[in-house]
Amino acid sequence: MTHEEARDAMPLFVVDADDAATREALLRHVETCDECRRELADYQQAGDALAQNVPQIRPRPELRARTLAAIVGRSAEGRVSGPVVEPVRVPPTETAPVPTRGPGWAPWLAAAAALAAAVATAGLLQTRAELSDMRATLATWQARVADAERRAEASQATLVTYRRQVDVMTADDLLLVSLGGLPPAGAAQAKAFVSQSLNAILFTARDLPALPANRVYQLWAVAGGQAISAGTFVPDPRGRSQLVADVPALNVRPDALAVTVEPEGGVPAPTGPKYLLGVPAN
Amino acid sequence: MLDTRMSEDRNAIRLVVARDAAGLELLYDHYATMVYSLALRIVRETGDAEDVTQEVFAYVWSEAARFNAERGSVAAWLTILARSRSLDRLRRRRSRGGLPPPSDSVGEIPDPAPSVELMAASAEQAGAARLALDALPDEQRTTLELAYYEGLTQTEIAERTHTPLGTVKTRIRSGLQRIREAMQQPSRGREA
Repeated sequence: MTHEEARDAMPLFVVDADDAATREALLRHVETCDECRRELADYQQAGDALAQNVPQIRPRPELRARTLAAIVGRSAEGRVSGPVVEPVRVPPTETAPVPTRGPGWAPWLAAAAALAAAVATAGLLQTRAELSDMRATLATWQARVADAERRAEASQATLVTYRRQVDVMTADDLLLVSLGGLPPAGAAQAKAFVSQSLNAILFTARDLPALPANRVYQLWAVAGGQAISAGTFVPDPRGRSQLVADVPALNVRPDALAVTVEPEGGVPAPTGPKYLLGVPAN
Repeated sequence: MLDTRMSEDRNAIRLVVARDAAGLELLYDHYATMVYSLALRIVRETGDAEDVTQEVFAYVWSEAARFNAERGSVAAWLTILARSRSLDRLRRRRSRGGLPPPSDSVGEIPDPAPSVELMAASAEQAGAARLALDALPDEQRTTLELAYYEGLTQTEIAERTHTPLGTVKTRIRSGLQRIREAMQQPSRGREA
């Protein structure tokens, strides 16, 4: 291949639109021609720009954990196999030795042996590539299974919560408590469904003010002058919150429910200002 | 900044070669969007694009020692891997008779940050390349896209577009030549 022919072939080479023979000839040429090799590198950079001029879309965040777990998580068991066929960017050009003509069987036998070796090597490479592909596919499916298991666990947890909510709402001793906001949470509202027999409170609130740093809201059931903690919560950015609180100490009918602002982690007895307060309706 | 990124990338490759997962995490954080975006552009199906992304990083973990900085940047290497794996998938799907969904069915929101800077030698060149790409005549850009994103050969492009083979070659050459020239003389390209 001449310089001109090589230059002519470069753009099609970069986008893999050429034929195998031209590709091979170009690769052989740039092996020995510095000028054309530099020019080909320029074209490749132009091709890279084309490849990268696509809308940039972030993959789902879960993919990171899934990918790293699938790859690195199994590293202790051995190397993770990916595809083994290296993309060609710079040519490997090794020409097979041509047997010299001569009398006798030796050259023919040598050629036959070389051919057999070449066929065997090609077969091995093919098998290796296929095996590698299978391993990569297996890694992908293992990751999908792990992902599905995580989703199933999350769904199971959600199901348990829903069942608990239904249990509270249908309890025979259900108490309904409407809570009103107190300054500075005058706009806040909440409802609570309390079941003493289930030791549980289903609580929903809205329009709660944003919390100061290192503070949480804490829900209290007040009975006989004692405040029993029903847990802490942080509302979403729109001031909404919902929780199902298990309150083992709730063994008497509460006189009132209240929400206070407390340090992170909660406190054994209320210390902060009351933001919500309500008494049972029935 | 580009030098810093390239230096970080090479260090990350060294970590991966030493079987340190921190290297792989760094590369994933730098390039997952780039790899996934290119894969999605080619395979046009989010599940397949995720699989390609996973395969690319599995390959990096397995074969990082093969990376040769003299041949190009880590970004360029990952691009070759992503494109090659994506085209393999596309071809397998074609051979089974499945067609990719139209590109507008991928209802995801693009990240405004372009990635071409990762590959080009300078931000100036990257800008010039993008301008040149945008300015290409439609027929040149379409021909390049059929080759690059769909993996069609010049003969297949000619058949698909009912265009003479010589014209296909000319369009590819002219298109890439324009991009190349723009990258070589970025300031002139911007003024044009």
